[in-house]
Amino acid sequence: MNCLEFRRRFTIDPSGNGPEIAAHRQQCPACDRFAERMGEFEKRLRQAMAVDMPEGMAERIGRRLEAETPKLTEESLDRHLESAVRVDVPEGLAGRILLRHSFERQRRVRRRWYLSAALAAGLALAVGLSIFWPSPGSHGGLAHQVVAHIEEDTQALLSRAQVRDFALSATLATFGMYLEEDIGSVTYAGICEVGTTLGAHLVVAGESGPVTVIVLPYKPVQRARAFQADGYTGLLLPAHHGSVAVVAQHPQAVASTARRVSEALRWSL
Amino acid sequence: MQSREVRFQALLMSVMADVYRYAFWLCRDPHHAEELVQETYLRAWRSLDSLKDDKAAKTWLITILRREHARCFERNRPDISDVDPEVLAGHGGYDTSTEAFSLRRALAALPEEYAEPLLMQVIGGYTAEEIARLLELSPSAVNTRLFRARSKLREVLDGPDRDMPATVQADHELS
Ligand SMILES: [Zn+2]
Ligand SMILES: [Zn+2]
Repeated sequence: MNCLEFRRRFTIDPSGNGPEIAAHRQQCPACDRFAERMGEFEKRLRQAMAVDMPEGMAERIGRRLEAETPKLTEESLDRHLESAVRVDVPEGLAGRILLRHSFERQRRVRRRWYLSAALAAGLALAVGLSIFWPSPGSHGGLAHQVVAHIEEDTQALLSRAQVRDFALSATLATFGMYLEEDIGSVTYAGICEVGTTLGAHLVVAGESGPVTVIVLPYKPVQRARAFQADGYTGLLLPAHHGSVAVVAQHPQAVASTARRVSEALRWSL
Repeated sequence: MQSREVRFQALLMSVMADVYRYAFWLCRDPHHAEELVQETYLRAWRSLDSLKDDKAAKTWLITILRREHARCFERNRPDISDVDPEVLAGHGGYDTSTEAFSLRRALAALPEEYAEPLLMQVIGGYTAEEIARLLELSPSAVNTRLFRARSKLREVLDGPDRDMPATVQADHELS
């Protein structure tokens, strides 16, 4: 590749690299400097393009979507409520809490968790499909604490070995939780301090990289909310009396893991 | 958790900032841009089930957005002199230097046929082949537009291009 071709290709796509590009850069200091300047320019271009969203736009969109969605029927409300607070109580659970396998596929008695009127009212509010828009501020702090913890607890994302079932069960059992279904290969399970609260910190091996799942049993959130911070995409979901944060680099990994976890996670306390 | 909402939230709401940026530079007007994004999300919500590949969420939204833009705004595209300098200066929270300001003004002044491939590449993350397919252009025509768009913008910062002999530029304009 000659210098002209190099510069033409680099101007067309400064992110593009290949063996030819790399080879030319190495042997041609002038083009190497050119590439560096182009990289700098590209950064400024991205900054210039990064106009802020109008204030409140996400909320306005959420409201339009809400208006678009058929009103919740009695039956669907019931279903939502149930999935939001359902706690299945398998018979004789206590003795088996550390042996996840033993209650897989076992018949269990499903009892609707007792809902106080106040809790029901609060949940109806949370379920009112307000899930669409990120609520400004209110849980922003929690999302940031979660991301800060992920960055702090560096070994969590690095660990590759699969956590043994009993270790995973023990971690969850600390908070009275267990998994009713498989959530995939778990490569990290620990009890961690996240911000000012305690949580179960799990890492699930996803198809496009590790997905962090942090259950915060004592940190309730009103409704589901997506967030982005420091290159991570996350979801904060209400779960039992607390919340679950699902965080990864790829949004699609977040969605699929969040679905699996919310289907599998149960509380016995 | 209702999976449809979770999916929508995680895949689509999380890329809203980029979708808005795309809309903004496409129509260069914050009000139209918001309307466009609202319309886009409404359509996306209605047809969420047709999104088969989660990885393609942003691309999908931008495709919807481009169609909406063609439908609603083609005829009353604002003149660049309409672009509010206040808007170009940004709403705070990021780089507001004169350099960023002139770059934004240059972006706003870029003819749409140059601006769009650049937006698709930088904000949308499309490859040149994908851009060619969506804009119904030849790959070399897309390359020419990307080349010219960046060269024009670089002139704003650096003055006329010293790195690129005139022959390359002329040579490329032929393709
Ligand atoms: Zn060279
Ligand atoms: Zn941790």
